[in-house]
Amino acid sequence: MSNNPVDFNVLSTLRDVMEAEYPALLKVFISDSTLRVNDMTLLLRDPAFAATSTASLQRLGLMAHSFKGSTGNMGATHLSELCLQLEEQGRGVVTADDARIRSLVSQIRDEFFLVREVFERELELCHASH
Amino acid sequence: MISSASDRLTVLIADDNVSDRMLLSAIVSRQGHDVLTASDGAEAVGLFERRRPQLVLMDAMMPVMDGFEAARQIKTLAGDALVPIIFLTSLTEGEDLARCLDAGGDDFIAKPYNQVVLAAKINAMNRLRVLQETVLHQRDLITRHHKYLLNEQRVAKAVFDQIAHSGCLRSRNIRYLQSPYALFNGDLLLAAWSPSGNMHLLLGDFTGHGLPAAVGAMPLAEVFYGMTAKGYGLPETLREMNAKLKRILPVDMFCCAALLCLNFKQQLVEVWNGGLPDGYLLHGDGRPHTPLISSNVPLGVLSAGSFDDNTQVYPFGPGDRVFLLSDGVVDSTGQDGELFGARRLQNVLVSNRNPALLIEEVQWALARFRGQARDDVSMVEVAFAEPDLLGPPSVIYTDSGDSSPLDWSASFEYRTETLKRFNPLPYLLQLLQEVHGLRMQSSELYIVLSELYSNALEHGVLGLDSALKRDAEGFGLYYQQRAERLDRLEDGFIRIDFQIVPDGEGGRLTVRVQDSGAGFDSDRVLALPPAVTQLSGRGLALVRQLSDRCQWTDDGRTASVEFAWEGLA
Amino acid sequence: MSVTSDRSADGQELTIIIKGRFDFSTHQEFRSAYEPKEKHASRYKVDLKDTHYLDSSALGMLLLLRDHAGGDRADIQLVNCNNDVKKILDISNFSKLFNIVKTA
Repeated sequence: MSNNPVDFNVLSTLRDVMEAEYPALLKVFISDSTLRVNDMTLLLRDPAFAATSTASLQRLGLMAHSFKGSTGNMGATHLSELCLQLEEQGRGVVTADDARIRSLVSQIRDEFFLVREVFERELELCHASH
Repeated sequence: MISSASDRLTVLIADDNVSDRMLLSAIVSRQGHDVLTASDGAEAVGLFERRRPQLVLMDAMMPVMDGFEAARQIKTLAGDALVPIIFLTSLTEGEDLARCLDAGGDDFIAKPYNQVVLAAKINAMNRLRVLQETVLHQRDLITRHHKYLLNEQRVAKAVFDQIAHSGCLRSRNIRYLQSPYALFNGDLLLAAWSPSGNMHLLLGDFTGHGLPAAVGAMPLAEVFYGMTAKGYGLPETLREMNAKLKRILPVDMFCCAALLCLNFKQQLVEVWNGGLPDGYLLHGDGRPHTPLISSNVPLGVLSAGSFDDNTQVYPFGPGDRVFLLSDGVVDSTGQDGELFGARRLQNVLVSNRNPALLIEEVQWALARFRGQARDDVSMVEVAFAEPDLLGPPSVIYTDSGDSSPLDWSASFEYRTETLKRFNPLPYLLQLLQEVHGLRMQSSELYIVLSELYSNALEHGVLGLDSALKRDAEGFGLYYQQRAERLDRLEDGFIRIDFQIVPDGEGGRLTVRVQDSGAGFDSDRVLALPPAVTQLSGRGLALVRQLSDRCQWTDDGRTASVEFAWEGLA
Repeated sequence: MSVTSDRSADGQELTIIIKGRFDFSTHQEFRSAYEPKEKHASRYKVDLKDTHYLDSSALGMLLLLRDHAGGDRADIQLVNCNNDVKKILDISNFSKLFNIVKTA
């Protein structure tokens, strides 16, 4: 896998498909994803969260599942892969492990910041070309 | 209205993920479709109800109402129409994919989206949708046509029933079973009185089903009723029915039929069977039943020249019955494909104790045999009855009689070739009907004329010995000889003279029938006790009984009878 | 159900072989077996060896063939009729229209 947080082939396809809507898509993704990452972080900080609680795990699993989809569509390949691992923890595909979950969420946060930087740069490029 | 596969579709996209929704909307719009979007399942169902999109792209995991439940509700709302639902999913577990199918999903597409795959799937699903729409459209069309057809059949049947029921099927000595829509199975049952008080009965079975099988029924019934009412016998009626059907039906259509003439006065039954399964003459005295075998080609096949109108004649007295059936009875198949067959039918006939229940017993046997009813089973049973108890309905005349001719005479001579194939009686009777005063006794007149004519032909011209008819065996022989001798006849005649003279307010008819035969000792025959005349001499006794005066002269070669009438009010 | 046909070397005789049920569903096949583009045969044979059922529309089709082959002058043999088939032909007295040959 490349070191790029975003697959540039995917980005160029998105540019083609979205045409004028491309910057809007990027903005929507950035704001929506920021919320999602925050939600995940908050969920883990909630004293009620426990890696042994089915309800907690299910909620986390759904969050990860949904985020996995949108990041995959946006070409954030590594981020999407991290989401999949988190989803598997949440859905009980693998035995849930609190430390592993916390580590994954923190990796997702870090990776998301990298992805966001790429997209923000894209947005600047779009503005510059107009 | 059917949309074509290339039409612009309205596509509903349901995904809680806003960026995915945007991306997918852009892809689908670029493919030329209109897009509706929903961010959860409940919103999707609401939009579907209001806007009726033709295709749905549905995320599985959504808040409020998930994709599975939304899919289920949309499928229910869509009813018979196919609204394809493609699940948008990054689900990878087989179990989850199965849930999508269970909920009514028609296909999946995985994230991240591949534009080409998505377009292909939308097109494939749309083809299915159009196909389903076409099927539904055709189904509705067929339903509508079927309704029309049923209505047409109802009307056709009503018209036909008017004709069919103008006969005497309701007579007390006739029992029958027919499906209400027998006409459209090609089955036909007709019965009518002839002027002489004979009962004619026809059971027919046209080839095919539906309207084609029914179209021949109307002309056949017309010929049957028309000729029976005019006093024609079976051979003439058969020839005319065959010629008519031959003329109007396509080559591959014909009518299997059995025709009966039941002569209650002389206790005879005359039978013609062309193509129907064996009928049966059931004897009241316990003798084994006589099969009435098809020995002719069905009606409507042969040209007039090769048509065979030969009939069989059997004694038919108190307690005797004739049973006829269509091939739906013997051709009924059981669960293992075996035919009901003549053997099983005969067993029912033999074990029948109560004649009134015969048809029911055959039905029960059929039901036991195959467990389900067929609608092309026709059966008819006609029993002997004393003529007085049945009484053919009297004929009603429409003209006033003011122009009735009252002083005339006429002579007719029928020679060899005419005797072979022509029955002059209906024509002669028609002529006498012009005399108003004779109409009151037209039935007696007809019987007497028929008797005198057949005596002149059979005993006179053909020289047949009536003593042959003493027993059932001789009976068959008698009619066989009749056909043979008629066929070989080279020389002979029958002369018929009518003389009508006025007499006060009324009048008098004298009929003289003279034949070319050897004559007979009328005094001796007329002196025989009634017991001896059981089968053979019945004719002469009838003539004496029904006419006002009768005598034989010229060594029995000439018979004269008189009918007189009073003045009309 | 299948209908095949076979013409003799001199082209004079056409044999039509019917397998399975001989009923209305055979109509088109049966007709095309004897309505070829080339000239008429002068003799016809319908082989019913493997025919196990025959209904009234089959009788109608035989009449069509008879009509095609010249009506009263037609030379048509129905060969290899088993008992069931023979019985059906007998009831309608088709022996007066066709030359019926029973299974040997």
